[in-house]
Amino acid sequence: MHLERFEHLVDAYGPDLIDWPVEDRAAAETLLRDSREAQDLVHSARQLNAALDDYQVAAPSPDFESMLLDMSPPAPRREVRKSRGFTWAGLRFLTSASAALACAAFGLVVGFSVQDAPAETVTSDEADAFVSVAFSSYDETFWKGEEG
Amino acid sequence: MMPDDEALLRRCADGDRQASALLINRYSPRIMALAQRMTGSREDAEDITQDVFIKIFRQAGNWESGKAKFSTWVHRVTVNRCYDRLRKKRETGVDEVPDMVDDATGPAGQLHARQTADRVKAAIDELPDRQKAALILSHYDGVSNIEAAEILEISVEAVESLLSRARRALRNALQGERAILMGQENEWDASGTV
Repeated sequence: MHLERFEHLVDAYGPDLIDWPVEDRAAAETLLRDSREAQDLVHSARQLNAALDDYQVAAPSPDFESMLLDMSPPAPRREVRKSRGFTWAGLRFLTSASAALACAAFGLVVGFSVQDAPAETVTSDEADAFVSVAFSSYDETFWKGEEG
Repeated sequence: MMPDDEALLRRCADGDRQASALLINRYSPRIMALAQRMTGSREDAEDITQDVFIKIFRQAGNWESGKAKFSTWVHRVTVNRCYDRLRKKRETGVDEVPDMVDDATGPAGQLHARQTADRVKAAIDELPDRQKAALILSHYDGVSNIEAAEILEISVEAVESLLSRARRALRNALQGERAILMGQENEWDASGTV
């Protein structure tokens, strides 16, 4: 292995030969053992790594992580299961419907019975009295018997 | 045993808040870190992370099992969002300083780590977008070159080339910062006993 190739691999894979491509390791180990320049390159790479390690950045604050958590997907809404059994709303509907049907039936019965009944007999005197009241011509003689 | 990504996605689509929380817990730090290193801005990183999660939640119910690895898809969406944001920033000329973590102990250690981080950040910011993405995925996310190729939708050879150019560029950019980077210049100049 040439020193140029060794230098390229030191920069590309770092100073630890264990991280290098397998096919280059044996030749690199030989060169490293025999070459002072190769040893200097590895030493220099270690120093650069140590310097890079000094550049640390702060971790996210708990408040920031809490803000991120607030952006996370919400739990899906649970669907309200429709009961097929007894419900108070159903009972109210049935009651109203039954009442309406009963009223309709009663109306029909009354209607038919009135239709079949004989015509109401109203005496001519009573009819006259109503007409008199309606036209404000009160006949005392007619009402006297009732009041007296 | 932790549920896999696809199981979480299905539960998430059904409105399972616990699954959504697990997914956020698993992916938001990675997305945020990738976006922040890509854009160099905490604010942009939060916007991008939010966008990516909106897309994840929309996709949750339609995810086709076995078609693609979820983590690869998430990385791809994130990187593409970062490209968009960087393009817009270049157009508007906006630049911001990100929040960084001081994990070194003691004032001297903190100062050293902060100085190193600032210089590394500045050097990464100067990289072309695709080199930057390849480097961040490889170094910070521990993504293999094969997976990086899938994420970036390029060949493995192209990823190797991007990484190679990115690391050389970083070494050159940080050349003048050796003492600060290493804390002591001798260590950087020491002969390389591996």
